Amino acid sequence: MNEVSIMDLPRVIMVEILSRLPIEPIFRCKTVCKCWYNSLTSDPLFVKLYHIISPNFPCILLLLHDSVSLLLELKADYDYHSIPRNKPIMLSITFHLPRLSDLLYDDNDDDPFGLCFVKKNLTLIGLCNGFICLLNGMRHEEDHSICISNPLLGEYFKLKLPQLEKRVCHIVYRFCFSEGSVQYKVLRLITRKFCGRPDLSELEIYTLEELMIISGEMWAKLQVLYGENLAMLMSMVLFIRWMVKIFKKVSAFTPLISGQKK
Amino acid sequence: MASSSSSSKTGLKKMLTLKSSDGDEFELEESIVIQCQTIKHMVEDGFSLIPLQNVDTKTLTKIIEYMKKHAEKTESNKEEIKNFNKEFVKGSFDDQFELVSAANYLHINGLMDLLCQSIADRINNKSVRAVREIFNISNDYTPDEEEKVRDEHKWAHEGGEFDESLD
Repeated sequence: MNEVSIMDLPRVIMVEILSRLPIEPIFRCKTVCKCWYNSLTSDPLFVKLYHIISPNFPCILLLLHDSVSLLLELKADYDYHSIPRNKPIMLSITFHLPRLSDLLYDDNDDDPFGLCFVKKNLTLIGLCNGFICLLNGMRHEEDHSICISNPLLGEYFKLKLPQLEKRVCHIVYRFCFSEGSVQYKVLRLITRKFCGRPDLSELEIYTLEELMIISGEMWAKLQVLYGENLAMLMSMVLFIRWMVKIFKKVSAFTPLISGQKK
Repeated sequence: MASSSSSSKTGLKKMLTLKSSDGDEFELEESIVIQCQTIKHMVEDGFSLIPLQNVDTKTLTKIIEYMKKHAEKTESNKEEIKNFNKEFVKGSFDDQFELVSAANYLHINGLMDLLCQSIADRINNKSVRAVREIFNISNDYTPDEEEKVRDEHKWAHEGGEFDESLD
């Protein structure tokens, strides 16, 4: 039998090979082994290569306005600030749809076609390496939720974030990718009001752990940072740069602290 | 290490020597070898004997065959090159494995493309089981987990027959 395994190839080559597959075999290949599952689900290199090699593959974002279904075509280098309604086309039934019911109703499987979707309002938070971060519901309402979608594979993951307090008056979400740690982050900036005192802003950073289906909990809270008037850092670019700095600091501190404990 | 490189100025073709991990040496024209980015950089640094510790003789012979053919590439022999490529990627995965690793190490972009695409084409219509067999991948899912992953994209596993053969 064969002695060499494709697993012995460097990750870069393996991902390069997988990214050349058409969409159907990609889904089948997820069943081959856990390593491929992870590569095909969350590896940024895969998404990047897939976009380069199949430049015409549309990223699909499903929008429903007054029961009209729309598919949006988005590219990896999509301009975040332009209105996300540039290329609407009618929804084709044959296209693989994400399991919207999972996304919206945790305990309701009666709605496999996601028709309940109409009741909620989906807005785009951001795009990163072809992944899409969506806000489900209204930001100022308490029951909103965040989900990350891999539109390439039509998959959604709902994000479990801690509940918000009543005092919160302003919330901003951002979605980004840290080149340094090779991880996806969701940032939540919360501004709280206090009587007679300046508003207090708080930045929470959530890191996407490896997308292991088996292990359950996907998202882990990394760290909460406190600061005043962080709201001025509203631009996405600033956020990313700033965040990278923070993470460099954090990783530099970690060994120091554990060293002291010893 | 660096021998006189004045020969190129006198109009003679500059020759380079590639040395495989088995110690065999191959003398080639510089114009052929510079398709390979790794070697190109070494040539620019003044090397003329290039040791390739990660490439054995068998693989290097194949790669030289590829580089020689592709150095002849012109507008008129496109078809010929195409047929050459087709023949080149035939062979077991074991051979391809060595070649793709070497192509990656040597940074021969064209060859990398060719090999990755050919391996992907091989996966394309195969059943999951056949893919595991051909590429020697052990299944680390439990039956329950595998069922779950299958269910995520049932439609991709249905419809049409998948190739179970191992070639």
